[in-house]
Amino acid sequence: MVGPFVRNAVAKTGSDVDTLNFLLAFEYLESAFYGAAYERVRGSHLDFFVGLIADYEMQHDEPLVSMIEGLDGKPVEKPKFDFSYSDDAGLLRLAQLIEETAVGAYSGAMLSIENKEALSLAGSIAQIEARFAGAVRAQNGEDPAPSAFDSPVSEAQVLATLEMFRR
Amino acid sequence: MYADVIESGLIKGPLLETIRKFGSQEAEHVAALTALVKQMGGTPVAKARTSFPLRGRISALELIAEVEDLSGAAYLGQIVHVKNSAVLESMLAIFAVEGRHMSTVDKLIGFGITPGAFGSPMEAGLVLRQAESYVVSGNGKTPRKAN
Repeated sequence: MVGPFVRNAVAKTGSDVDTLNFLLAFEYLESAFYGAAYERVRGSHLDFFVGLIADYEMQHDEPLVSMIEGLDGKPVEKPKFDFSYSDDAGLLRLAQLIEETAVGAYSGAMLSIENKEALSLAGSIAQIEARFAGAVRAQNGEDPAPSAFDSPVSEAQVLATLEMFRR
Repeated sequence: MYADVIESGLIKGPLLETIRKFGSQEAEHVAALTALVKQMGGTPVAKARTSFPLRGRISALELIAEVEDLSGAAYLGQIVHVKNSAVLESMLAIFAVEGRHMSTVDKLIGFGITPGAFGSPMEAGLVLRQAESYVVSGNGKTPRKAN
């Protein structure tokens, strides 16, 4: 079932504010995931890797909030998430799912953003999500770039991923 | 660039497979963009003759990282100018793969998987000036010998 948080995020599909809110919602998920993940792996061999991604992912929220406010929009509320995994391997598999969904979410969302500054901001974040998607795949022993062309992830799929982890 | 690095023999072992893979993906990007330009009634630019400084294994990997960074910045600079949504979709499909290449190569040369939280765009003029350093002839200019 789609909760009010996600419904609000895409209530009026079509405007840049809605698209940016959709991306902000996913960034909140990433910040929450890596914040908790870093607490778990601190001091272990994954400290640097997860810590670096956590640090940079958390920097993505604020500029999106500012951009939404600059376009006279209201940023979505930060929801609570719950991520369950029992070991480092589970954490990294979840990280891969989240990063791949993020790259695809940006690729899809950027097709409908009209404001150039907003598009530029989304692009500058999307590039880092793609870096992370490749790096997490490599960390999992997988091909960092399995195809010459990335595919967008549908809005429905992104929302389903958001709901899957929402508490 | 990838072709020259592979041909140089400076990269060996499992790493060579990664470089080959990335190189073949770049060739697919060239083919896709060429087809797109033709489809829109344009003439694809001629392939420039290039020469890359290949002094050793590390410098070859650093070169790849530099060119991938330039490519990522070039796409980031151009996506805001694209009006046709099919063109934007193709560019974004390539742009994301360049990002995957970038973190992989940065890690190979001992850097972190990203230098920061945000990618930096570069305008076309600056991209071309930087790319010019690898061009030895082309665009009707008098060919000069590679070093």
